Amino acid sequence: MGRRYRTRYPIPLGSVMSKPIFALIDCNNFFVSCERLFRPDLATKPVVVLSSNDGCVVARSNEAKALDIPMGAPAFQWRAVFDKHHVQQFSANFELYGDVSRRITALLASITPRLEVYSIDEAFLDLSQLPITNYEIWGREVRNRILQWTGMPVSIGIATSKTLAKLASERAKKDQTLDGVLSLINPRSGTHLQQTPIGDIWGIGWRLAPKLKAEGIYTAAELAALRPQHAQQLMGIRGRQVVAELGGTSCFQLELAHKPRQSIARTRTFGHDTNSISELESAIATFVVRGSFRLRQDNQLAQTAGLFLTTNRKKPNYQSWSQEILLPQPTADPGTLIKLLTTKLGQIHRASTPYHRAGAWLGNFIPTTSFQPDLFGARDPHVHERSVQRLSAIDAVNEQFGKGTITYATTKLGQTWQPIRQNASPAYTTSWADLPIIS
Amino acid sequence: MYYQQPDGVSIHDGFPNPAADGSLQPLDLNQLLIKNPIATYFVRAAGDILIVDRTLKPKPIDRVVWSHQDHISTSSLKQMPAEAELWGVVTARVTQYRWGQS
Repeated sequence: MGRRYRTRYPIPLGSVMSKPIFALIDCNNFFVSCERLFRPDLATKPVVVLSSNDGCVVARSNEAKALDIPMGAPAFQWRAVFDKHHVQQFSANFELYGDVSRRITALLASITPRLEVYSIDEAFLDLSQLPITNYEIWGREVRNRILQWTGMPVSIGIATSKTLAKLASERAKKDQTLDGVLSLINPRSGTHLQQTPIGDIWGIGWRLAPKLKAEGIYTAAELAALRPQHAQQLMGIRGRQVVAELGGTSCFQLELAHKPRQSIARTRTFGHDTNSISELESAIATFVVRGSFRLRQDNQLAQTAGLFLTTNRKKPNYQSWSQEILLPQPTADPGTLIKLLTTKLGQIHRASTPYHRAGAWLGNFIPTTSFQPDLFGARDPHVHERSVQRLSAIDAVNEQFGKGTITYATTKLGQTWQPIRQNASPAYTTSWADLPIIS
Repeated sequence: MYYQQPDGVSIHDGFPNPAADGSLQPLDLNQLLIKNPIATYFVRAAGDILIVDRTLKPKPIDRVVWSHQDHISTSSLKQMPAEAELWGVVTARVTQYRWGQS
């Protein structure tokens, strides 16, 4: 058979010929599932996770969804419902979520390096180079492996475009009969498109959905049937691409490159009004310690830093102040940054002002490797060198013994300020002191 | 922690240091105790740390961690309640006699 079918000009293999095939791996109710990892008692109970200030709902178990608690629900408005139905509330525990996410990413990376980590709980894989004969079976194996290895339930959607893969994973999550996996590769995708409201389509935001409904377009099937020109008129070029993607033609590529951040900002609302300078200094210093840690992990140095303060937006005479500093030399050293920012703070702080929010940011990053001491010695290479060594030692200790073991004195000045995290679970997997205790 | 030769100290002696070419690695407990870090969790039982691998197929004599109704517990596989769900296989138990730096 070989000879007869051999072409005169060999067909190039690989990316030129093969259509892309995407899998979206999406963790089910990710934060809630993390909280349940070591808590089998919560398996069938309604659970919500609240944002870092315990302000609003950022994740819901299926039982909580069944109580019609919406995403983003302000916790204080829903307290009565929480109490009545014994809804378990957790403050967001990003150390735990980050560790579980890291495990899943590592597992997926062992399947293929063609991986895009889209968010803390979603990743796209390009399967076109893998020897897979049955995508449905492949999806089931991967789903079972993630569940067994990490304890995390996921939904997997497989299709020839990212938008369709995302749609498939949503269907796999909602339709119990699919058992968590849906492939739209050999499409009878029609019914699934009909069952997907336009608001659930990736890239159709809350602003576009009403506009499309006004045109009589309610489902993904109706959107996919739109003429490309019409789609572009309604939604611009991006909308035209979404329509093509729903038809199975890929417009959005896998984004492999990790783009390092260009700025880091941290803000917090105090639980109360404050005019204590030590409390504000403490807050700013805490931001800087955390922000500069991220910076060092990305091997970057900041060239600018800034801070802002505001009064309570909901009270009369709302005011805000902000100041940016050009740093004397690029740095990721919290000691230097705290000194400069607290000096600035001293200049804008007024003892009579009731401050309600504070924040700090670091910006204009450059890679650590590009740091060049200048010819006139204005950037002292030895100071830089020593600072780098000291910081990696601090980071290592904090990693081993828990965040904040070694920190800067300023961060502890204001005793009263801490983000509200009343219901935080232990850092089960990232702190020796917090290991789950079993009998 | 593996110790390093202090800076500026040089030893001239008959034997070449076999570690000098970097081919010798210090012993690493992680390497010995953890085969699959992605699927390995630590839990504490009776003060000790149990190293639990979720990928292993348990044998009757294995110590396992299981979840049953509303709690997680550990026993040998033989003593695991019939309705319990296997959580992982205990591959090692770490008893610490002294903690921290003191």
